[in-house]
Order: sequence, then structure tokens, then C-alpha cells
Amino acid sequence: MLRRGIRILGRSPFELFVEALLCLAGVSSIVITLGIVGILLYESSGFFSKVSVWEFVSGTEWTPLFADAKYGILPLVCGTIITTFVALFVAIPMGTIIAIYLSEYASHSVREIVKPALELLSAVPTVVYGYFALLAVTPFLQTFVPNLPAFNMLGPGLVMGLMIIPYVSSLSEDAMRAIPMYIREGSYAMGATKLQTAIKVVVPSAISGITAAFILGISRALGETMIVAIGAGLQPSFTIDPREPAATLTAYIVQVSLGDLPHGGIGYQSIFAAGLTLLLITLGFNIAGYILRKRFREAY
Amino acid sequence: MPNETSLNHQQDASMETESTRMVRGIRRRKLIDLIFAFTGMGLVTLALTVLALLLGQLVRDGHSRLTSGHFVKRDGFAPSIRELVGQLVPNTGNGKVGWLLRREPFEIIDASDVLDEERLEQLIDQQVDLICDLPPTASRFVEADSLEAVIDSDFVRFQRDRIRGRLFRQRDSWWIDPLPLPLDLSEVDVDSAAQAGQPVAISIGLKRDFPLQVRTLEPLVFQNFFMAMPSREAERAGIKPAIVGSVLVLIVTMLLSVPFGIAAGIWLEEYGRKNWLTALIEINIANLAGVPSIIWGLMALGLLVYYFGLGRGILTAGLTLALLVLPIVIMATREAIRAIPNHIREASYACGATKLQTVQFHILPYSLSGILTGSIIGLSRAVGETAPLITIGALTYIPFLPEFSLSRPFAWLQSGFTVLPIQMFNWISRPDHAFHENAAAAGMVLLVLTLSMNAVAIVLRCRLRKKIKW
Repeated sequence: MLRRGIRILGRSPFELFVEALLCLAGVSSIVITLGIVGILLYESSGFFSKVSVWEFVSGTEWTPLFADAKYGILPLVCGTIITTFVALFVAIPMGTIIAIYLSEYASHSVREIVKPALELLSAVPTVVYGYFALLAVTPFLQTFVPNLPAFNMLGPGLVMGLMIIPYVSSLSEDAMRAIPMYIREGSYAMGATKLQTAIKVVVPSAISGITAAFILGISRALGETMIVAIGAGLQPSFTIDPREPAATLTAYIVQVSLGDLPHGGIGYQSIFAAGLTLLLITLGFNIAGYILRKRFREAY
Repeated sequence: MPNETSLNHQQDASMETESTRMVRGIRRRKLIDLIFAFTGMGLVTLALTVLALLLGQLVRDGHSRLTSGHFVKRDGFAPSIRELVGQLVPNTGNGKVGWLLRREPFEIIDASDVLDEERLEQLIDQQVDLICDLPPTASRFVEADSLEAVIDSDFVRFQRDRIRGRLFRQRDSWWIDPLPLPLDLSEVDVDSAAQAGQPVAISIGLKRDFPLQVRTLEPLVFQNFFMAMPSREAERAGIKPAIVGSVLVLIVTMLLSVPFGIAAGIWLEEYGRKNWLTALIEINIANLAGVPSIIWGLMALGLLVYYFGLGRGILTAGLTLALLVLPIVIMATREAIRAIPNHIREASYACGATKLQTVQFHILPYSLSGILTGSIIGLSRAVGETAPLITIGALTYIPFLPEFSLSRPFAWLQSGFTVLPIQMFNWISRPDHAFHENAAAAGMVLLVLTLSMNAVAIVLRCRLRKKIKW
């Protein structure tokens, strides 16, 4: 009788046990993060014990698997940045205009159809996009860009841009739709058109959400692997011309993983150094985005 | 805007009244507005059209591989070059009882280089002897060395590098339709009557005089793209191990990520108090969702493969993808739980339910379809994910399936594997265009898989929206 009473009043051991299990699952995400950062730092420290940090960040040649090994990360970073730029050149204008259109102009029924349809763009597996970049977009570009090699940064960049559009448009649109109606109505009452309202009132008010959308798009483009590994070639080259082939940080990791490098060698460690660089660049953009968002945040 | 207009037209101002200027300004602004609306609609259409065109190219490149197939022996191997492939037909002509091997026409390659086009024109529909470079086996092509009109109409002796048959032309290429080979099946221990009309592979003995003494006769079975193992020949390669691998990896991913993600989501929403720890976890999960997938692969390579020594099998792959999907599942769970209004919880507590009972009988059932939607979208991403599996060293040439046995029920977890996207990547990377067709076909299968998962999620979400009204 007494034990039952206690059970009703307090938590049973089983409840506590379940709560502990759930808590373990919740806290595990931190363990995962520590695992990622830990292994990247650990293997990279092995790399940087053999290669000076200065050579790594300032060298313009990346040939770690050659007999005459050079460890300058700049060509890979350059490839990553250029492909990302090409992608953003497509995704940011298109994504933003589509977002404004969907949030301010489109009727409810149009939006309900277009939004899931656009999300298809990001649901297509990246390896399929890689196929498009290499075998559809690049041959198409070759018809009017003279001397475009089969591997180039332009085609994969454009395809990547197509893939990123929904990331930009969907989040931006959510941010714009979160702006209360009375703010728009104030603008309409002053005689502004929809476009004037959208550009001068809605976009500035939603700018923190739109920045978040851009940052997400940039992160996706920086970390995209298969499209560039298939379409841009695997040869690191220090160039800013998007028509040339180049390897990105991610493509280099894929290239090394396809071979059979011994565990613990400098080639093996170099992919972790490349991964760490990628993570730092992504993190840098995310922090910048966070600061921008804080500065421009407007609450309603 | 009206001010600018008036500035620009200062000279005309005297001639125009205030109201016509305003009307013109409004008209202009409305026009710009309309143009923008059409631009927006146009860009949506453009993006979707480009996607449709690209998918169209994928279908155009790959559809023939999906429907076509080839013949293999019962053990799954292709006939060797020492064997002849054809249809076994009874020889009913001129009273003799015997069997014929009827072979499919061969396309003659390089005929224009080796042979004179004009002479070939004269030989159309005549019996010719083709001396060829490659032994004509299961291949549909022969490389011609020389070609002569037949002098004696009887078969004398069978030579592997000589095909006698009718020359014909189809579209731009030359073909030879071989004469049926008379066979002597007395040495073969098969019920040849049952094989009549069936595709077979035969090997012949040393005696090359006609009829050919058949040493072995094996029935062939048709095998399509889905049932074939990978192969060095593009036409024979298939995606059976890739499909099996994808499904097994997906099962492992699902079993690991979904329960774990739901548990973490429930804890964060229902149990965790608002303190620095939950705030940290929240930020952390949002950041984890943005980590590039290849970084997950590096983590899996460094920690799972080498540090924990899990090997490069299906378990490691499933675990890697499960970790990658976990933030998506957690966020979906939290969102679904947050949508449940507080009065549901309070009503449950008021009836004397404990926290666990509330979660078990109210929170979880009400949020389940939302959780499922998010999980399916996460898993569909896992199916198409390539990069992290390449880093852990998923092999691309896997001509076997993982073994299942009752004595070691979990051995398949350690088995080497390949998945659809990796198989596709492997085929894309080859210079031979025939493999690109395989890649397109694999891409179509992959797309159908991921898009149907997404469609299920979208339908689920729509139904959920209509059904639940708090």
C-alpha cells in the first residue's frame, strides 16, 4: 500500500530510467560535435607537425601525393570559392526574386504548388546533378563558350546554383511572410505599389531571415562535393577563371578517398587538414551571418 | 517616384496638368509592378524547366538500359568466348532430324575501313563469308578483316573466326545474319526437346566438321539491369548489389537515427529545463545540420573506421548516415512536438498521468506524423548521399551480395558494399560513353527512390495539416 502511494506521488524508477535515456540521447549531439572537431584537430595536428602552418596557408601549389610534395592549400580554397561564387551568382538573384514573388505576389494556391515543386530541386541527389554538370550543362556551354574544357568550374557552379535556389527562396520567403500584414498595409496606404512595398519595406524588415537564407546557401555551396568532384576535375590549380578546371577542398578529399592511402601517412592526414579548412571557412561564414543577423534584427 | 518624374519633365510641366502626370506615374509604377510579377513567375518556370530538361536528358540517356537486358547462364555468369550463343531450333527441313543453332545478326564494325563500300553494295542479300577479328560470341559486334562471296554452298568445316551468312544493311551500318549451324546433340545430356526455341550457350568439341559435335549445352536466362552484377562490359553491368546495399544501409540508418532522434527531440522539448545546457544543445544541433556531408565522412573515417575499428562495412555506412540524418530528425521531432498546445499536456497531468505517460499517450501519438515526415525527408537525403560513403571507402566493384546465414545473423553488417549513388559516380567517372548510359539509368532509379520518398513526406504533411485542428 505504502509503496504504491510513493509510486503515485513520486516518479517511479522506470520513469527516471527513461528520462535518463532520453537525456543521454539529447546530450549525445554534443558528443558528436566533439567527435568531429576532435578527429579533425587530431589528424590535422599530425599534418601540421610535418608541414608549417605558414606554408599551408600561403603556398600556391598543392601536390601532397607527388614525390616533390607541396602543401599550399590556396588552390583548393580558390576552387571552392570560385565554384561557390558561380553558384551564388545564379542562386541569390533567382532565389530572392522568387521569394519576393511567392511571398508578395503569388496567390495561396500558386504558392502551395510552387513551393514543393521548387523543393524538388534540392531533393535531387547531388551525384545526379554531377551527371548533369558533366554531361548536359558543360556540353551545352561548350556550344557558345569557346575552348571550354570538359572539366570546368562554370558548369558545376551553375548546376550547384540551381540546386541551391530552394534553400535561398524557401527560407527568405518564410522570413518575408513572417512580417506582419499591418506593416505592408501602412506602405500600401501611402500609395506604394507591391514592388515598392516589397523592396523598401518587406525586404529590409526581413533582412535578418534573408541573410540566414543566404548563409545557408553559401554553406551548401562551399560543402558541396559530388557536383564539383564530377564536373570540375580533380586537378588543383590556382586560378580565378571559372572556365578552367580546378579541384575544390571537397573534391580533393574524394580523390584521396578513392585511392588506397595508408592510415597515418601524410596523404591521409592532408584530407583532414583540408576538411578542417573547409569547416573553418563554413564556420566563418556562419559567424559572419550570425553577426549580421544580430545587427539587422528587427522584432515585431 | 512622382517627384523624380516631375523633375525630369520640368519643361513639360507647364503643358501638363497635375492629374495627367499623376495618372502617368501610377501607370508606370503599375507596369513595373506587373513586369516584376512576370519576372518572378518566369524565374520559377525557368528553374523548373531547366530541371525538367535535365531530367529529360537523364531519361533519354538511360531509359534503354532500364528496359534492355542480356542473357546469362544459370550461375549468373556471361557465356565465355569459347561458347556460341544462339537459339536452339529443330531442323525440320529435308527430312533430317537434328538441331540448329540460330544466331542473332552481328553488326560489322569498321567495315568501311577494311572493305570497299561499293563491293558491299553488290553483295547485299547474298551469302558471304566474313573473316572477323574478334570471335563472335555473345557480343553483338564483329570486327571485319575481310569479306568474300561464298563459292561452295555447303558447310565444310566450322571456323570460329569465319561467319557465313547473309549480308544486309540497316540504317548506316552493315550487318551479317549468320546461317544456322547444324548441331549434333548426341553427346549432350539434356532434354533438347524442352530447349526448343530457347536461348542456349554451347561449346563444341574438337571435331569441327558438320554437324558440330556439341560438348556442353547450357540454357540462358534473360537478365535485366536491376538483376545484373557490375561488369567490365557496360551492356552487361547492373545494379543488383547497389540496390541491395542501398536498402541495407538505409535500414541500418533508419533503425539508428529515428529512435535516437525522437528520444533526443522529446528530451529537449519535454524534459530539458531552459538552461545553458539545452541552449548549447540547441545551437549545436542547428550547426550540425549545416556541417558539410563530407566532414561527416571524414569523422566516420577517422573515428568509426580507424579509432573504433568498425571496418568499412554496412554498419559503418549506416552509422555515418544515421549521424548525418540525426539533426534533421531531432529538429523535425521538436517542431512537431512544439505544435502541440500546452492544454493537452495540462489535461493529461490533471487526470493524474505522469510525465512519461503524457509523452507516451499524448505527445508522441499526436506528433508522430510530423516526426515521420521529417524522418522520411532525412532518410531520402541519406539515400542520395555519396561523399561520406566514399570517404569511408565504400568499394565500387562489388560482384557479390552480403551473405545472410542463420548461424551468423549479423555478419552482413561487416560486409563490403556499394550503394546506388556510388555505383553511379563510378560509371560517370569512366571515359567510355556506354557507361554513362548505365549511370543515367542508375540515376533514374535513384531519383525515383528519393523523389517517391519526398512525395510520401509531402502527402503526409498535407494530410496532417488538414486533419489536426487544435
